[in-house]
Amino acid sequence: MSYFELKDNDVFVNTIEAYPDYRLYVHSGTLYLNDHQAVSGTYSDNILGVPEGYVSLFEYNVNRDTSDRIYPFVVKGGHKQSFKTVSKTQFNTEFGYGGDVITGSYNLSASISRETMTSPSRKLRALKSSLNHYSFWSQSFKFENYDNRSVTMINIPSIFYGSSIKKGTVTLKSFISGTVVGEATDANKRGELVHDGNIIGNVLYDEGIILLSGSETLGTFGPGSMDLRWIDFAYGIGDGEPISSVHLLSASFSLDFQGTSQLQNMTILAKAPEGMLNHSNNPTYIQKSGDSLLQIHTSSYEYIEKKRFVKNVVHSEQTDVEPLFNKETYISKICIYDKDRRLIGICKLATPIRKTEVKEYLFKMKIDL
Amino acid sequence: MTFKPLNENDIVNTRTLLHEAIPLTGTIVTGSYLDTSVTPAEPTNVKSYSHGMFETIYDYAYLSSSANHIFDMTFGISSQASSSLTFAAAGMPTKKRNIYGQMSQVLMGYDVTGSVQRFDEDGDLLAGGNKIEHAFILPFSRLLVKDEIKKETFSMRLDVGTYVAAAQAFNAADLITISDLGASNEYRVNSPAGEYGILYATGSNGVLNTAATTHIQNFGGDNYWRCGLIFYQAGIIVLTGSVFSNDAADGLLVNPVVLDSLANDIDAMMTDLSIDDMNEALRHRMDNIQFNNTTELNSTVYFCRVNHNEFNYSSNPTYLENSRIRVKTQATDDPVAYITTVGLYNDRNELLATAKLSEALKKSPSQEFTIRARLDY
Repeated sequence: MSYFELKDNDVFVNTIEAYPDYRLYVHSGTLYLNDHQAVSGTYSDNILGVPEGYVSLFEYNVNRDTSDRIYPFVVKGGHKQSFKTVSKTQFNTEFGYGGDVITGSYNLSASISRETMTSPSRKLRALKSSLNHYSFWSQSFKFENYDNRSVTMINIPSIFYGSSIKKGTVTLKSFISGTVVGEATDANKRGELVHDGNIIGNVLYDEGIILLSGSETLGTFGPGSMDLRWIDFAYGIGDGEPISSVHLLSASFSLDFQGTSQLQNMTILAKAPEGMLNHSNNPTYIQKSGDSLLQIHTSSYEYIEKKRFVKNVVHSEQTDVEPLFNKETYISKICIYDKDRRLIGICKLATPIRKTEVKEYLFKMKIDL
Repeated sequence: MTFKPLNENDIVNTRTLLHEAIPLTGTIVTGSYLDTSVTPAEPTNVKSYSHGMFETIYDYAYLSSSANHIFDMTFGISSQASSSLTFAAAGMPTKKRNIYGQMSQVLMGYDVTGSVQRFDEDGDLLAGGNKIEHAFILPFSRLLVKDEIKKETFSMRLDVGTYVAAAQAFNAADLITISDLGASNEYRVNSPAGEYGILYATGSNGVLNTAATTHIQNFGGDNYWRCGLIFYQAGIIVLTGSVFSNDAADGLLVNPVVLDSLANDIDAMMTDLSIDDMNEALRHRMDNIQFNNTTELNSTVYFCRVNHNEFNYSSNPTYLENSRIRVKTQATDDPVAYITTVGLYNDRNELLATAKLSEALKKSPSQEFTIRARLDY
């Protein structure tokens, strides 16, 4: 086995950027994620144990009764580690330092949420800096455009989109009885949601927030001819939004976007130069000997092992002719060591590669980080 | 904004252990998800392979994208023990030997002569003693084990009573409980795969064989029968086949256990039946498996000390109004600032991380704070 030092040009890291598609569809207050319908289980309507249209973190506890679920816990200690669901007061008063166990629970879930803001809102004011910051893209972001008016906020958790929603990929559609009555997109990739030439809202791509303020009527539905507007988008999934009217059954909404997910990939180039790596310490590299390999000659001044011969494994078409001896090895794996020569990775070849003194190879190893 | 260097007393590295309780009820293993369209009904959450060397157990039908791999099952027999046995064609002797050899090589390593060590019943390799010559091996999924299985939390209930066709129709008196009793304080470190503990069986009076004295360990006046090993970091259970045997030499039970509908016991299955058949026999008798896992959370805590005479002024533009400090109503008022963010910089003053306070902290010359900024990784 030989060590070779990797030089700067032998190791490089690439970043692969992927844009996973997401589609959310809202109908009668029910959310469908990527057009999947939940699989009904023994203990709930969804084997994942989370509401329809929600992402389950870790996807533990598939089709399990509440009492049989996997759950996390920590022992209270001086490091003050706890779960977010445990308040500071609970942590201080309900648990002692004598080995008390603080438990959490699975399944943790996330999905988009909807909120309407009809008066000056703290949540909207919290976005003031971000909105004004993005006004260099478009003046429509300015906070004044949203202050003191009806605004609908769609909040997309980052588990859906990763580091950012991809610019220009957000499409909102409103349907009445299955027919598209309004489609808003950001074709200019400036965060402006445009429908029929009018800006009806904005997308904060990094924050995963969509603000809608368009109040023009897209169409009417139901026997009472109710108006459908952009600020009604995704009605039914917000807290306290009852779906009691049969009218709503005919209105539905879809939200399409692409996330941004970055994956680092390390490529390592390992060279097997000609004239090198032609010897192996593997015991099978040596010819089998009738004599004991332990036969040695030793004295006060020397230690000489019995002469041993390298096995001739050179390929020959003839079975009765010993081919001319050539040093050959078969490379079966490449090990990667750190600077202290500690083994940190092994790359196995699908089939061993024959290495002769005149051949050289370049092995390209990749690892996703 | 003011820079203040952190010294070695301001930085402390900590490690917290996060655990998860993992219950695996026997119904998952023995057949919650049966495909009744075939006869006999087959579990849809157990994947068998054409090579027949092991089976994979999922927590849901494995064709579903929601299914999680929970553990594998296989059976191995040492070459020393099997040399005197006569195997039927379906007995897969080579595969069973290879599995034992591979698992013992990885988990127990080699002795001084370069030979693979067999699984040792009490982990005391120097003293010799009983070896586990044939064993069911259950490698648990990394999804469940995480960094390691928490010591002294493993427990498995097995039925060793009369064979009944319907799995899960267990009689409580026939159940034995297998656990890594006392492993918090006593575990072995002579494995190349990390730490391991000894599995002990206990059960109702008359179930376990009190004559098998070489297998018995006494804890607090009660007898426990050594029946396997648990490798904590590797997440592998090695369960001796003798747990189903009443052999005078090494059986743990008083009465023989019939493991399948053809009235085979463990010795017959070992030589005559496939690994899949043996796995099915074990699955059929699993009532419950339970353990806790461990994930190490490493943290660095930066104690950011704010002395009384520091950080009482802000360079934020909003601190001034018409060039006057806006938090002062008269010139003699104390200077006041509101701390909202702690920035952590490297030695070249490059910002590495920010810690945001949930609410702004009022700071005046009469106050001192220590802000604890914790970085988890």
